[in-house]
Formats: sequence, structure tokens, C-alpha cells
Amino acid sequence: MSHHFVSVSTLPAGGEKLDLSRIGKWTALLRLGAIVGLVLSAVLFLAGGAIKIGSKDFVSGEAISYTVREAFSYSWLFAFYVFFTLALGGLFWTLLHNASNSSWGVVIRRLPETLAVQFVPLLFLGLPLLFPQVRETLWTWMHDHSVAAKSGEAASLKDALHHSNHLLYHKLNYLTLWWGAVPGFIPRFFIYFLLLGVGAYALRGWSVSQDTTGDVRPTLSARRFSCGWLPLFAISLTFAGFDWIKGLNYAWFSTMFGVNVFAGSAVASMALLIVITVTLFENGYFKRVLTAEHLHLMGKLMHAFTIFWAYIAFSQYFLIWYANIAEETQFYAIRNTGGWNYYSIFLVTIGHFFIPFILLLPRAAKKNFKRVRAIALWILFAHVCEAYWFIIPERGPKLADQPAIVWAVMLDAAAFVTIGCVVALTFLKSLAQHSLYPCGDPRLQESINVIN
Amino acid sequence: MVSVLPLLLLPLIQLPPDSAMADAPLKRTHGYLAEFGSVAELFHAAEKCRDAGFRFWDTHSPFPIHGMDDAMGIKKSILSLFVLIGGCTGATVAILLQFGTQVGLYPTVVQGKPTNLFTLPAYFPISFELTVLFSALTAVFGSMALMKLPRLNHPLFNSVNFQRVTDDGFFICIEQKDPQFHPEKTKAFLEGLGGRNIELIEDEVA
Repeated sequence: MSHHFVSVSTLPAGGEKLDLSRIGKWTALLRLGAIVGLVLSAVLFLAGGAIKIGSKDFVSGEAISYTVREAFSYSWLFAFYVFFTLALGGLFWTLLHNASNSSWGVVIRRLPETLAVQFVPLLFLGLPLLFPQVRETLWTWMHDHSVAAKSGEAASLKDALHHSNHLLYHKLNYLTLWWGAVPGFIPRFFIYFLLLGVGAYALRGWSVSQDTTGDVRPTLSARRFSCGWLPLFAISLTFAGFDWIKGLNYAWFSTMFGVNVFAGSAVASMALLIVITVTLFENGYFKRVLTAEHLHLMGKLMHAFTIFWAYIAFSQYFLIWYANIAEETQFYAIRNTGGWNYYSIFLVTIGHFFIPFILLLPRAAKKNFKRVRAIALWILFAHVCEAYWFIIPERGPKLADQPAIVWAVMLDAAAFVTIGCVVALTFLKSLAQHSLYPCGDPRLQESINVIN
Repeated sequence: MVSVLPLLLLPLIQLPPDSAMADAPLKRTHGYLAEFGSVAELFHAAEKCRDAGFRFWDTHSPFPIHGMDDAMGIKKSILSLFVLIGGCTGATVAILLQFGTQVGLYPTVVQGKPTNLFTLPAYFPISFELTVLFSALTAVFGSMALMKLPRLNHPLFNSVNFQRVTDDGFFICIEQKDPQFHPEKTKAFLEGLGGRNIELIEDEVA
């Protein structure tokens, strides 16, 4: 036999805890990055409105300029979206594991549970997006709304839009949630976080309560809850994708976009879970409970969702490309022009699908800890590239437009590092609170000895 | 059980060299079948068979047993390589038939799309389907070929006791074609493993 049967009675009573003092250097570095980044970001948001970056118009080639705050708003949305999708995926895998009554992943289930509760720091990190200066830059329909509302000629916003922007007139009821001039965007932002956060905390709470009691009832509660919460989760992520990413260009239509966001979240989050699991294993954790079988199962899910992502991302592209309707093609038109065209082909298509698909085909690749982690790191990189590709082309300048691009990319990197440091720090803190695996789960023994 | 006992006498029967007894069935030894009482017994017996170096032998149980592949020393199947080749063939055929004909041989403008490398997305659905089709057919027929299926009968079905393999029986069969097979030593080996109801399985060849 490849590994010997492990009885839970031989495991330490309280499970294993992550020892943060052992990685004190890393947490100190993350804390430094978070503090410096947050201060820098605050300065960029507050004072950036006065600093201008020169550029050229995308279509006419004329010289234009935009403020640092405008550029940084896109950077912030990009970084926020990347880490939001990772937390989304964490919640998805937790919900799915409970709803499908699975036992194989009990050993690693604490990791997605902990990833999902990062919705709380992400809620605070997302707040800058709600300020008028930021949101009216990113989501131009809000700008058009406020211009129409201020014009004062028509009796209401709806009437004003009826004459000035017929598309927004038709979308008004969704966008404002029938709340007059207040964008419905803001209450929706909090509704998404409420639904996702409640789901994340409820599931983690039940799981953690079992660590000491070993009671079977929380498992049953989590299963019932997950079946009911999955539709709410799907609705939240679909409309969050519509509001935050698709809404960057309110004139673009794609009913597929929510699924695109979901597929990217699921695959990237599984990749992150593999990276964390293998790294913890290499540092002496999980030694008694984790085997190559678990990595094989996670690798298979990562492989399956790589294919699923390709399937829906290509379907969306293919239908729009073939039908060739101007309203729909605008999304791909700017992403298939100039430097973005190479970016689309090499980083999004080949990077996000072909490379991981081929590398993950052999069974040995999924069972070898180092190889599967290397592939998972590549998928994470590709996911970041996809998020960048969703958001940054909407900022305006061409990818290869010098020298503004250098400044803009530096702003993107700053936002990414800031949010990354904050979320990584809170993740490690919440991971260290409880055992690394659900040590009281009734199906732990079944999970440890899983063979697939 | 009584009906099985005469079978044990069969190896003692000397078949005549000529056609004098042409209507008596000609039999070929398939191997020894031994029964084991539980999953654990079968598992440990399989480990010992593996360590003894047998090559042509198999375990039979009513349900799959986790870890049995390792206990039997079975290596990874070559089927996945066949499927990979099948899938690559499907993708190549699809691309050649579409791209080769509509871009190479006779450039065809459809819906104002270009006739060059950038037409490739139009050929993806069929390439995808053909890759899946060829892979799936290779998987089905490849696995059947590796299992030597279809076949009309199997010598093990001659054993009445073996019928319990779909209910509560756990069996090991060491085949006669194994280089280490020996009429007495193999039987003694199986007895040493704790095998019960050891039968010599024979196949009617004519």
C-alpha cells in the first residue's frame, strides 16, 4: 500500500495550529507592505486628483491627460477584483463540499473556509470604490447620471436620460434600484458582501465548533445551509461581476459574463489552495493527514475548472465574434487591438488554458507536490492576467502607449501589493486562530485515508 | 460443493494420444482458484502473490478494494497514452479538414471572416467535438482490447463456487500460463496463503 491507515485517535487532540511566530519575518514584511501600501493608496486617492499623467487618445492619437486618481481607481478595482475572486472561490469550494456531502476534502476544508472569511477585509478594501470621484471615473453611467440629474431641464433623471441617453434610460431601474438618483450600485455592493459574508461565517462557525465537540449536527446544518445558499452565492457573484466589471462599459452586453467570473474564481481559488496546502506541508504541517491522493483530487478539480473556464470564455468570445454585432463586439474590439491582441492570445488564451491543460494531463503531475504547485502558481498568474485584461483596457490608453503605461503599471502593481499584503496578513491571522484541519469532523478519518 | 469434487480428479485423468476417445472433451488447465474469507485476507494474499513474482494472476471480489492495485503490484495502465494519441489524432484531423480545405485549398470567406490564422476560432467547436469523440472511442475500444473483450466465455465460469464472486466470495486465480506455475507447488502456495476450496480450473478446448 502506498500509505498506511491512519486512525484519528492517534492524532493530537486539538489538531495542528499554524505557528505564526515561526514565520515572523514574513508577517512583518506583509504588515510593512500593508501599512506602506495603505498610506500610499490613501495619498494617491486623496491627492491624486491634482496630478496629471499625459497620454495619447486611443482612437485619434491626440494628446490627452488623466489624473493619477483616475488611473489608480482602475488599479484599485483590478487588485480588489483579483482577491475578491479568490475569496469567492474559497466560499464556492466550501459550499460545494458541504452541499455535495463530500468527505474527501475534510482535511483541507479549513483552508477554503478561511479564504472565504476574507470578505470582511475585502469589504473595507472595497469602500474606496464607493466614493463619487472614484466610482464616476470607473463606471461612466454614474457620471452620465449625475450630469443628467444636474442639467435641471427635465422633471426627473428618467426624463433627462430619455432624451440624452436612451440605453441608460432603459437600464435605469436596475442601475438605481428605483431609488431615484442614488445609484443602486451602493446598496447592491453591501448586499453582495452581506450574502457572501454570512455564508462564509456560518460555514466556518459550524466547522470550528466541531473542533472541540466532535458533534455531528453542525455537519448536517452546514449541508442544509449550503444547498440553500448556493443559489444566493451564484446570484451575488453574477451581479457583482455585472456591476463591477461588465458595468465598466455599460453599453456592452453578455449574459455569459457572470459564469466567466465564476469559472475564473473557482480555478484560481483551487490553485491558491494547492499552493497553500503544499507550502504548509513542506513546512511540517499536515504530515499525518495529507497524502498525494488529496493533491490528486485537488489537481483534478483544478484541471476540470481550467477546461470549464476555457469552455465558457471561448463560448462568450465565439458567439460575439461570429455574430459581429457592434454593441457586443466592443469589449473584444479594444482587447484585440494593438498590444492587447498579443496579450489576449498569449496570456489569456494560451496562458490560462493551453499551458495548464497540457501540463495537468499526466496523473503524475497532479500527484507530485512540487509540480502541481508550480502549475497552480502559473494558473494564479494567468488569473491575475485575466483580471487585468478585464479592467485595464477600459482605462483608455493602449497597452504599448509610452510613457504613461509605465506610470499606470506601477500604480496597478502598488494597488495589487497593498491589497495582497492586507488580505494575506488577515488570512494568516485567521488561519492561525484554529486548527489547520477540522480535527473534530466526523468524517476526518475517512478523508485522511481517501483513495481515488 | 459435492459437484466440484470430481473436478479435482481431472488432472489425474490421462488423455489418450489418439482419436480413440474423440467424443471426450479435450481440456486445458486454466489455473488454480483459491477462496479467501475476507477483504483483509485477500489483500494480504495478493501482496504475497505479488512478492512471489507471479505475473499471470488476478484477484476477484464483489466490489472494488481500495489499494488493491498496489497490493497486486499493478502498474499504471497504458490506456491513457492510447487516449492521448486518439485525442491528438481527432484534433489534427479536424483542423486539417477544416483549415486545410477552407483556408489552404480553397479559401472560403464566410460572414466576412478572414481566411488566415485568425479564422481559427471558427474551427474550434468541431475540433473540440472530434477530439472528444476520438478520445472517447479510443477509451472504450482501447479498454475493451486491453481486457480482451468481447469474449463468449471464461474458464472461471466453469467453477460453481466462483459464482459467489458477485455476492460474498473473494478469490485469487493463478494461471497456468505463468512461468512459475507448478501443478503441486502453486496449489501448496495458495494453501499456505490461507486459501480455501482450492480448485483446478480447466477449460474445454474442443
